[in-house]
Amino acid sequence: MEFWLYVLLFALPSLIEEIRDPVDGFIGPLTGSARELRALDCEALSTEAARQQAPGRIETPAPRGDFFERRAVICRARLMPEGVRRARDEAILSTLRTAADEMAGHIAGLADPLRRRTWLVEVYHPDLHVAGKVEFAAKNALMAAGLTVSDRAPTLAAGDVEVIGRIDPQRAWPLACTRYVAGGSLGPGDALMGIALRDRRATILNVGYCADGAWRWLR
Amino acid sequence: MIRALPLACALALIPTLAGAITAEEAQRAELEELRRVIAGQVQLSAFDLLDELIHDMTQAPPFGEPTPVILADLTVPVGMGSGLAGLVENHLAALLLANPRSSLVLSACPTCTAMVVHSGPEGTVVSRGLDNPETLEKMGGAGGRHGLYIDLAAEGAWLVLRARITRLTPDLPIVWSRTIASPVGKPSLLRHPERLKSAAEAREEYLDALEDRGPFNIPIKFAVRTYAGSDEGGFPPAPIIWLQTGFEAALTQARRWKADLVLGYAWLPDAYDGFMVQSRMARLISGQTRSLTGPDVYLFLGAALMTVDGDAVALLSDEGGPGRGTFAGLHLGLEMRVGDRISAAAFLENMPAFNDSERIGDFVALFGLEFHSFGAEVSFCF
Repeated sequence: MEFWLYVLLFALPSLIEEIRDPVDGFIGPLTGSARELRALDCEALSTEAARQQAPGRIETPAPRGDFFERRAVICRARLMPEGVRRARDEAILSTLRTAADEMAGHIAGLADPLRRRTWLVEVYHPDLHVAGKVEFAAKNALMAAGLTVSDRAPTLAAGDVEVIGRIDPQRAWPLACTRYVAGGSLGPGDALMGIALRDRRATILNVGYCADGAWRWLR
Repeated sequence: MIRALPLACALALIPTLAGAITAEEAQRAELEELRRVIAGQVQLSAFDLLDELIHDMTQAPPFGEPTPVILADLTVPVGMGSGLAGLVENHLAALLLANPRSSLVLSACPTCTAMVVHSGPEGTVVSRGLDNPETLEKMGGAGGRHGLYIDLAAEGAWLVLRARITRLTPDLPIVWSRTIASPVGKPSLLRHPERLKSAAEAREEYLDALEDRGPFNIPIKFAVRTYAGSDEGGFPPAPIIWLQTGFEAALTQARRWKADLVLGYAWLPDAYDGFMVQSRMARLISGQTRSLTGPDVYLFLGAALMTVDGDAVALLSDEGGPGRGTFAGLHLGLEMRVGDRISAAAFLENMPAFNDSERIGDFVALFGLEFHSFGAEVSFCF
């Protein structure tokens, strides 16, 4: 009897810890579905960062340190369950913050005269709502990077739209860039950040810029 | 018979057709219900983010003086309906009205959000008024004012609020922007719109609320201690019911550690009477601070000195027969407490005087300690 109590006392905390650790993948089978595990977003953090995000849930390390090597993985259920949004849109929207920061980083890393221009943002995505979200995120990310940003959208003549709308995005952006400058909607002090889904099946957004009539893909 | 056959076939088909329609409708209804549930969950988080946004504006106003601002656009996560947008818009308006220090004065501009058509030498432009400030100016619209754009996005496990302010001049420069994110499961701070606080201040208040009862409590406990019979199969002493009171002190602000000292009295007519003094040290193991909403679990270690007399507890006496018995006990147990008001505990107790005793046995032996007694108690704190 005592032997089993010892076993239980010593092994139970580790077992509970293991079962609750989603990294080991036990949550799915225990709760009846691996789908539940897929609906989680897990993030490995330092214990200090985890303590700030989940106060009261993460043990505070002793001031002089302790003999344990601690790791923290916070798992949260996604706001939008699987199936509510299109899979392609979900893939883009669920990582939009990081993607927008990364795209703005490409622009912020450009040489100085170009960097100091007023940046306009244009997004091509088949879904207008998703395009709107991406545009908003990109503008805020550019502002956070310290760039000058405008809400103005460059315009094309009806004939240009007719032609550019018929060709694939790979060729459409350089052509549109030339026409924006020729039409005067993109002035010498302006630059355009273009974000596009170059293939309808893709889940990664491509980014490029247009300045002085020349288009260049950055990613 | 010939007429009955098609009728029977038609009747047999009706449930199938009806089923097909119902399944589709049911699927749609299920999706709508799911969206409604998510919108309900997102609403409080969205309000929290708006509170944080306006609080930031009151601390560092975007403008030096009150400035008219048009709510140019407010969008909710893709997949959500316009009902949520309406609720968020109302909350934003209430916040801006209640916090003039934000420097934003909400202003109405019907032509700004309406579609306008402008024909000029460069062509015909169809756009929203906001996107064509020159036309808007000609229509006597929002020239020189500012547009506030708000976007809420569900990004994985995060709800993200983005806001920007654009000056409504032909260049449409963005003059201010902010992005705030909140993870799923973060408790809503439910801040009052007229007394906004930062998330850190709100958390501080939450901790203050946890500590609202001060460091001292007076507990009244009803405890029962049962004793194990001897290993030879003898009868155990009768369980002793104790009434205890004293004081309890929280040793840390969040009641993570606490200690108590109580005096107890036991009396059962023609059976026993007794006195005791007991002290305990307890550590919260269910979290780092006392919970406002759920039960707290403490692990405790304590010591007691008891003196009992009576026929029913003769086996506990010093001589093992009639007479008074005085002995000490060391106990270890778990206590579950709700709202720092009521608690239930269970413990195992070792009584050193009865180690290797022939009169009293043990329930269990751990770490070389024999636990002769098992106790349970209910406490009320005042």
